[in-house]
Amino acid sequence: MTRWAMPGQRALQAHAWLFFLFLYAPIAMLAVYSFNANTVSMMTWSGFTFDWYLRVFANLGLISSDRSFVGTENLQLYSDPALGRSLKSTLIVGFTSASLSTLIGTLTAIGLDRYRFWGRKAYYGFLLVPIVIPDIVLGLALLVFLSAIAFPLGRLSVILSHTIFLSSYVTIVVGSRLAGMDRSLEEASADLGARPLTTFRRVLLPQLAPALVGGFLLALVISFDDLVIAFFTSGVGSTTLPVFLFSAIKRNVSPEINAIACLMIFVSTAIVALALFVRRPKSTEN
Amino acid sequence: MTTSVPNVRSSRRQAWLGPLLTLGPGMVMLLVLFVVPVSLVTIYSFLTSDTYGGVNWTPSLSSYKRLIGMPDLEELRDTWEFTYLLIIMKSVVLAAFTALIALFVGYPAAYYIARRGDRQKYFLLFLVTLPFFANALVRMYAWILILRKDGILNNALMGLGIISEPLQMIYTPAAVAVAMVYQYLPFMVLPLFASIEKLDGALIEASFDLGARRFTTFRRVVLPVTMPGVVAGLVLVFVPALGNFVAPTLIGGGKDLYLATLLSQSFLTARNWPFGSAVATFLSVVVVLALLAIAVTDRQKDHTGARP
Repeated sequence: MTRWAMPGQRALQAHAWLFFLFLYAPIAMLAVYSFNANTVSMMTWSGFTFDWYLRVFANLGLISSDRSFVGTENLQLYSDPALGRSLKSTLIVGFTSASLSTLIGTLTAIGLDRYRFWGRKAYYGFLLVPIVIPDIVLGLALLVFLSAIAFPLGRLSVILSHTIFLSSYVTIVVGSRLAGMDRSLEEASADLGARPLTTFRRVLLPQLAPALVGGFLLALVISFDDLVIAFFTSGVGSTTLPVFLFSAIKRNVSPEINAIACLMIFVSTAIVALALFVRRPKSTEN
Repeated sequence: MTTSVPNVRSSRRQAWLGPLLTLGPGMVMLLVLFVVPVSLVTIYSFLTSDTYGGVNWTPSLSSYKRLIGMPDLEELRDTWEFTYLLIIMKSVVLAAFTALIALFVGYPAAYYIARRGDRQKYFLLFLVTLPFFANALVRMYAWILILRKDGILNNALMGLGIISEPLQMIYTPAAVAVAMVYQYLPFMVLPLFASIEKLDGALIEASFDLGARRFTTFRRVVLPVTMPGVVAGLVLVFVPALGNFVAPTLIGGGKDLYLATLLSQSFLTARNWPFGSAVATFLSVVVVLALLAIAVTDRQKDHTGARP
C-alpha cells in the first residue's frame, strides 16, 4: 500500500462500515420484523411467525384461507381483493412494457449504431431525457395528454407510459454492447452472400442476446419499481402493486405490508441477479 | 453465379428502409408519447383554468404570476403573496441539503472503495448499487418503521433510557431529507468513485513530499481533481430529490407541501391544470439547468487538460 493511502485509513474504514450498515440495516430490519408475531405493536419483537406471509399467500389464493392466523382481527389486507388484482396488473404491465421496450429500444440502438445521420448525437442525448426528467412530470404530462385525447386510463395507458422511458434504458444497454462488438462477422456474412435479414437473424442477434436479456430484465425491474408514473396513468381497476401498496401505507402500516415489501425486494433482487448472471463477461472473451 | 453486390435499385431502397425500420418506431413513440405530452403541459401553463377544472384557450401568464406571488388583477389579487414561492424555496433548500448530506456521507465511502484492490473494489461498488434495485417505495416504507413514534429508533432510544418520551421524528423535513439521502446515495457514490479512481497517487505523494499536510493535500490536490465527480454526484442527488413525490407524502406526512406534492395536488385535488403545468414546467427547467452543470464541469476538465 502506498503512503498516500495510509493517512486516516482507520477512520475511512470505520466510516465505510457505518456506510454499509446505513445502506443495509433498514432492509434487514424490514425482513426481521416481517416475522414478528406481535399483533399489537409491530415494532416490538415478541416471537417468530410465518403468518404474515401466509396471510398474503391466502389472500392471493395460493394457500387455503381456512386456518386461523395470528392477528386475524387486523384485517387490513388479508381480505382485500385489490392485492391480487394489483399483482396481476403489475405482472401484465411489467412483462408487456419490458417486451415492447426491448423491441423498440433494440431497434433504436441498432439504427444509431449503423447509420450516420445529421443530429445523431443530439438524438442519443434526447433519448436520455425521459429517464432524467422527474417521474412526476412525465406521469402528469402523460395524464394531461391521455385525457386530452380521451384515452381511457387502464392497463394499456400504464404499459404505454412505461414503454416510453424503459425503451431508453434498453437502448443504453444494447447500445453499449453494440459499441464493443466486432463488425467483421457481419461483413463476412454479407460477403458470403447472406441477405441483411439473414445476417441480422443468424449473426447479429446471437451476439446481442445477452444484452437483449439484460435490457429486458432491467426494464422489468424498473417497471416493477415505478410508483409515480403508474400512480397518475392507471385507472381505478388497473392499479399496479406499488400504487396499491402506496395507498395502503398511507392508510396505515401493517405487518402484512412488511411481508409484501420483503417479497418485492426478493423478486427485484432475484431479477437483478439473473440479469448480472446473463450479462457476465465470459472468460473466453477478451 | 450469384453475386453479393446488390443492384443499385435495391441498395437505394435500403438506404432509407434500414433507418426507417430501426429508428422509426422509437421516434414515433417519443414524438407521440413524450414530445406531444410535454409540449401540451408547456402550452397549458400559459392558459387559465375555468371553473369546471378545464382550461380556457386564452394565452395568459397568470399561472406563473401566481407561482412567484406577483399581484394579478385577473385573479383579483392586488398584493404580493409568497405561498408558492416559499414552497419552491423550501423544496430547493431541502433537495440541496439532501445532496450535501449525501456528499459528506458518500465521499469518504467512495474514497475508501476506490482505493481498495481490484477485486474488492468492484464487489463493494456492487454492494452500494444493490439496495437501489430493491423497490424505492419499499425502502421509503422501511424509514417509516424506523422513524415512527412507536418505530424502531424510538423504541431503541427508550429501551436504552436515553429518552423517556418518544421523539417526533417522522413528519419533519429532516426525516424527509434522511430518507432521500438513503434513497439516492448510489447516485452520489458512483460518480465520486469514477473520479476518485482516476486520481493519480503520485500527485498525493508529491504533495506530501513538498511538505503539505493531509488537510491541505485534500483541499488543494484531491478535491480539485475529483471535482467533476463531486458536481455530478450533487446534481444527480439534487435532481431526483427536488422532484421526489413519495418522501414528502409518506415521510413528510403530505400536509407540508413540496414541489412534487404541490404539483400532484394542483392536478388531482385543486384541478387547476394550468397552474400545475406551470409548476411542472418550472421543475423541468430547473432539472435541465442542473444537468447542464455536469456537462459544463466535464468540458472544463477537458479544457485544462494538464491534470491526469
